[in-house]
Amino acid sequence: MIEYDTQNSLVDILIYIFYFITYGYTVFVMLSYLILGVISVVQARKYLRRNTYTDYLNILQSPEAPSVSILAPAYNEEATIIENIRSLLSVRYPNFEVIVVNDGSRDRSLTKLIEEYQLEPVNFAVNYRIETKKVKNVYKSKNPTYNNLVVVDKENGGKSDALNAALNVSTGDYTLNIDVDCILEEDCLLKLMKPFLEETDQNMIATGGVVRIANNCRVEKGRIIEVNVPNKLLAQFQTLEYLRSFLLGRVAWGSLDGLLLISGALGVFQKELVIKCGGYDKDTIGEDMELTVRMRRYAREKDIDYVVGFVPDPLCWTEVPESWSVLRKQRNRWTRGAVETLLSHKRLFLNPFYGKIGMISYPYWLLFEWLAPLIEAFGIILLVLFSLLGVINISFLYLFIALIYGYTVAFTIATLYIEEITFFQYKKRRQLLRLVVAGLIEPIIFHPFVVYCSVTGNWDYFFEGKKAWGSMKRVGFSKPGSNRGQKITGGKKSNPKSGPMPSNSVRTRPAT
Amino acid sequence: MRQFIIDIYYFLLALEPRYKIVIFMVIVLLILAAIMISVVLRERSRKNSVEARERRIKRQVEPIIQEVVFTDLEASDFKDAVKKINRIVDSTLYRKSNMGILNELLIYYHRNLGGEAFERLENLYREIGLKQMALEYLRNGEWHIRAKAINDLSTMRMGETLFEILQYTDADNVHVRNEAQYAAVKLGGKKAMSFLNDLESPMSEWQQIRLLDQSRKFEYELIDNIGPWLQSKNDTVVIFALILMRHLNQYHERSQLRKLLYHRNERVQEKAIETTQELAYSEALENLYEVFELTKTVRVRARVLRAMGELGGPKEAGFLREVLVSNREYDLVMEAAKALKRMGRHDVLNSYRENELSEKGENIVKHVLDDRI
Repeated sequence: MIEYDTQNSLVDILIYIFYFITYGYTVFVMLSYLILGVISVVQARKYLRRNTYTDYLNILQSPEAPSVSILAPAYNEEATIIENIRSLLSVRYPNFEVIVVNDGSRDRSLTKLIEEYQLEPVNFAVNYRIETKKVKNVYKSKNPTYNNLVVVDKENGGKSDALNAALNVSTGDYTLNIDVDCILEEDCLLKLMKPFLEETDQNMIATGGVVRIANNCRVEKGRIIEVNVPNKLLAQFQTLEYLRSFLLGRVAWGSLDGLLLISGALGVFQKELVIKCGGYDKDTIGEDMELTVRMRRYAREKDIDYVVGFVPDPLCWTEVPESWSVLRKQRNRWTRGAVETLLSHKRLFLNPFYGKIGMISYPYWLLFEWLAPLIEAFGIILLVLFSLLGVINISFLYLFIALIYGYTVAFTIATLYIEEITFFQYKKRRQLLRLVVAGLIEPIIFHPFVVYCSVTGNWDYFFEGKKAWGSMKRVGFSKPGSNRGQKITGGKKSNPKSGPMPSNSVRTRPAT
Repeated sequence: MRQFIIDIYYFLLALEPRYKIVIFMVIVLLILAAIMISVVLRERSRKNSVEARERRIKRQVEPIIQEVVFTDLEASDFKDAVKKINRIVDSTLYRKSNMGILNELLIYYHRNLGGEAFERLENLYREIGLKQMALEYLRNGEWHIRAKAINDLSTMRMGETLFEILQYTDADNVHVRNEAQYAAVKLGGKKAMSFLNDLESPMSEWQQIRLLDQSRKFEYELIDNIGPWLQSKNDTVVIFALILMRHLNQYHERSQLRKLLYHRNERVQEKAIETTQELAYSEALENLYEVFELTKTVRVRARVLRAMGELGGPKEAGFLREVLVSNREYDLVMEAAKALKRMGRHDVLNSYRENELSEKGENIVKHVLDDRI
């Protein structure tokens, strides 16, 4: 009898601990999102207020504008490369060059570039400040119109290696690192450079900008001319996810100077510091986050009073996967990349020397980006187990799930509201309602899928030792013979035959 | 139905407190979501109505503005036009918003017009009462309203408001301060730049670019204050003064410029070298040698080599050749080669190539001699 009582109380204690962790953690996550959301709204409004009288014309005409190199690595991008380079060349900024790195493409990317832009090899003396695979040739255009275009042809070495090669060739003081398949807003560079030029007290080392989803948007001559909500439900889910992440998450982290990730799709960096840090890490799959963290760490260790900025404007548009299998690979890779970066910089964890990133950002990422899906999956398994054993209160569990669902929906709707009062990109009423409907379904379908991808990503990282990228076959923003008003459709399926460095697939992480 | 509600009420009443809390929260969240959706939809309707009003005002006002701007109206006709515009924007509920629409419209016209039309538009701005409105906004508690008002007044060239604007050139709020400084230079010209004499707050590069943009519109004249600015304790003021020297061809204060070549702040030093080069101040060559020896920063040393390429003669060519042959730093070798090319010393570069002193150096020389790069 006594023995039975003891066992029973032990189970009770375990269940109590389980309740405490699961419910407490969930409430903590909810509160953190709420706080970040409030900060973001305040910041976005402040930014918009300033923009009511900001005139970018001054810098556009200025001989004192700092030089910027746009670095665009490309691998098997023949479907879109010509249009995308055209879009990059038409960016509004007075002093910039575009460096396209053909990273040993197996398709006709280079041939197409040579033909379209009248390229010829030049005697470029590459300064290998960062070690890379061999650069075969550097091309410049015979046509003076493309005077600021440099094309680097090198042996395949992966995205990081391509970016490092571009860094070696670049002459600008700053680098805008982008994915060649992204569509930039015309004044993207002006807006991204402004924080660098405005900062007086600290050293601005990098700025990021908001990336939005281009699926189903209308593109003309390399520019988005009509913003639409994607047709496919999966892309709609990602639209909501990106909105939450960029509009609410990163804007807040930017204002708190706690950003750990400047997206690989869009970020301006102080070139000298990137080089001093050793450039992009070739051995990581999450090279964008790794570089951001390493730069911050380097700056702190060298006692540089630095800051990382974020521009809340939608400046870049990217295509997201519309197939579950491609999305699974992408999310799996993001998870592995984040885990790798977090583990390689574990020294930051709760280390007061690193200030906010050590005490707030890193623990946040660890708890809410890496561990959240694992805790969630573990919690679900235990809940099912406990309910089968009849040791937990099922009705309270249902209610709690309803609470989480209610919160997620309310938060998504709040995001749409904030989008409405700030940047107002989805102008048609029907589009908004489609997003609302997607927001109602998302917690039931999309969220569990993302959790699953994250769990498998962790499994692959720790038990399978996977390091390779996933891939996405691109349809392209334009069809041959026409570049007028094409709508963008997402990648159809994965391309298992991709080479060592697969297509620069969707790599814009939306994590908060 | 009534019984059902009563049943639910008693059911809820009988629940444990934690159940009640969760149910309450779920209900609150769902209600909140529903409210937000309706607010979003209402916001859309509001935006639509504002846009419609904006279109209506523009449609009615634009012909009047065009008449005022493009024809030489009699004073009475001008007054009639002002009255008409005031009648259009007059509204009990929306007057402020309508005036805002009108303000943006006039600013738009002002940015796209010139000559006499400019002045007529400015008169219209005053007479409609927009200037008065901007002056009232200057006293508003919100920084962005003050900053926007200052920006509007400067865009519309309301020179008579300069005195009010000058009061904000060292304002606590950085945005207000920046707008006031910019407006002061735009409205008051060089004289209004005297705020730089005792400016303590740092000037951002963005602000320097804006002020330079305005300063370049001045008629050429020597700026007396450059000297004190070059000696300012505020490094950003020194940098801006150097930028002004360079772009506005301010050839005086050369001795001060020479001193700045040794400045403790490398950014000032760099700008000083750049200015020395641009102003063709070849007397400073001896100082440049010293700077090259004293500094360890590659960036500053590279700047020195570039300046030597522009200002130097045979002696400097020898020095540059020495750097080309003996230095191992890529940036310096590249800069020395470029400087030699700029001096027209292809002979030095070609002999270097022929002697094949180092592969790296040879590649750099090939690079520099390739005119396509």
